Amino acid sequence: MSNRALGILETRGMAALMAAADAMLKRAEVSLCGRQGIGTGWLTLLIEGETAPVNAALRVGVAAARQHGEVIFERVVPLPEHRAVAAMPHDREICQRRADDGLAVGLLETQGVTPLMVGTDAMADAADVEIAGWTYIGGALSHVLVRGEVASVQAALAAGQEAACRAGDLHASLVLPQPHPAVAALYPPPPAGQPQAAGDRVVGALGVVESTGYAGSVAAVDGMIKMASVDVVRLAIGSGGRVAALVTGPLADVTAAVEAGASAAADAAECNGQAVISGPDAQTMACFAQVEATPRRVAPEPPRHALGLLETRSTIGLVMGVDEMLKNAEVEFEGRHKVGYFLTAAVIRGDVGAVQLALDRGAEVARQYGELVAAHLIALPFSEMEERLPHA
Amino acid sequence: MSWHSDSVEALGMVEVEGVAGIIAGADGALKAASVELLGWESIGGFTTVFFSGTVADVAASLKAAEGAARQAVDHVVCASINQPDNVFPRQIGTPAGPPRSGGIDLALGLVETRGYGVQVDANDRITKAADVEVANVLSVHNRVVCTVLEGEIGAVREALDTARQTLESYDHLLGLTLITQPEPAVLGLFGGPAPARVSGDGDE
Repeated sequence: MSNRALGILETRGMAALMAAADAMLKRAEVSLCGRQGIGTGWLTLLIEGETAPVNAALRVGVAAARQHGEVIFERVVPLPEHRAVAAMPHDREICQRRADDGLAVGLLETQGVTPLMVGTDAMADAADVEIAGWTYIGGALSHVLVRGEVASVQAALAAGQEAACRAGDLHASLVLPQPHPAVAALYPPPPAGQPQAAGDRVVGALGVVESTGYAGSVAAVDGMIKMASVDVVRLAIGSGGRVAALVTGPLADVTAAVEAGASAAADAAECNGQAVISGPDAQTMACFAQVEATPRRVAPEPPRHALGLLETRSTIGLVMGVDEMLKNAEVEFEGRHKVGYFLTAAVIRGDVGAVQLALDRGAEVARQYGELVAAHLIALPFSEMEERLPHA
Repeated sequence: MSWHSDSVEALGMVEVEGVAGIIAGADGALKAASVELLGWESIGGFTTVFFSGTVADVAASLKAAEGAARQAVDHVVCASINQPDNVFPRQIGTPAGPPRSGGIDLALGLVETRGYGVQVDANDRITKAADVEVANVLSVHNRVVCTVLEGEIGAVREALDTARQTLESYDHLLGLTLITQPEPAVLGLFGGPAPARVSGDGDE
């Protein structure tokens, strides 16, 4: 125990971190002992072992990380002080995970959820690979992992990169032909849903509109369901304040809906991406479009009241705005949503005139304390939307 | 989550980037006037601390809180509401826990950085150099991490010196703050003993 050491490596992006983890574990007798993400795509990996192997491992880890992204910080801590390290909140349990099946893995990392979904579907189409899961790490960076035979993973990644680039920004990609079993510590959680068997309900198309903030995504859903006959699937949080609104339906309907939704999102807040995936693969659906197990909420009986959304990049701005709205207009406070990256939204209800008055006054006050992102009125919310959205 | 504060005469709020500023601000507010610390929250980058009291007390504490917060961080927004509509005290935030008393010599040290790796390194050096405890490590996303150190005043000063020496060369240091005789409510909300797991990977 006398010459134990702790190695610290912090990167921006999962491709860089995963490449480093694989290189380090293969280079020397070290083990992973902690992992922490702190937003904006910054990820830290901790390794432990004797001092010489930790030094050797970190050197190759840094080199591997630089090939796939940015290294933020690297350090070897000799004889780490137990009570300092024990008090840190990083995840230690994840490092127990292993994948001993010998399959190759591929990682596609994008800026935004739209290119990730498009890239994923292309990968599932291009080769016989398993879509093993996706997640986001802040700063709008998201990644998806595929597993399979080496040639299949390579073919899938090639197709995925090309498709992702067409739909948005590709951040990085990585293929590990023979990953070290302990690299599984970094794999994203498996898809929420099971891929449907062939012959099950066929979805004509999957549509996505990605916007900044909660208000933009609600506006997108409203715009989509009013334009065409589509089903609202869910809102997918994508970090960096991004929210993706997903719908399904016949291709022509989804295409029309996505155009209208993107335009509505841009009017309400900011639209960051849009895509129509025709005939999505069952794995794509299981990965991104799985409906949460929670039952649909029962929409209140008509006549429906108008819906108001106030969104800011300041808690004080929102609190002051809501106080102003409640004191000056006949509206009710219905809920509050935080989608990350400084964003916070309030949902109010009332007659159209009252909601409009409230939003005007609330926006004016909120602006004095911070950035106003959206003050959006939905005069006639459809029940299809009310049943699917989280606000209650 | 509930604050159980149905009859709030006035609500005071301090919002900063990172989290050190609201810890310093909360301590300043409680030392300046008779206000109750209600809780805090993060929206992924900015954090806000809430307190309540009479209109006069909230006004006095808000001024002190702003001054204290500005010692720790540049971006500070303050506001108060008289007779806030009561949806707010019941809707927002991580509520304050029970207060915890510290000794007369107790101090808090706040080490705020961009980056988690530098915190692991700095806390290792700090605990080797000074007789302080890592009481809490708070991550509020947008890369900001804040370590709360506890110890006697001399030891916390020594710890902050070590932190400065360690972190200055990395360009990741956001701020170092010393709080002497921290208010019991501040110790209860932001101090130890157990490290709080506030963050996940993305959750922003």
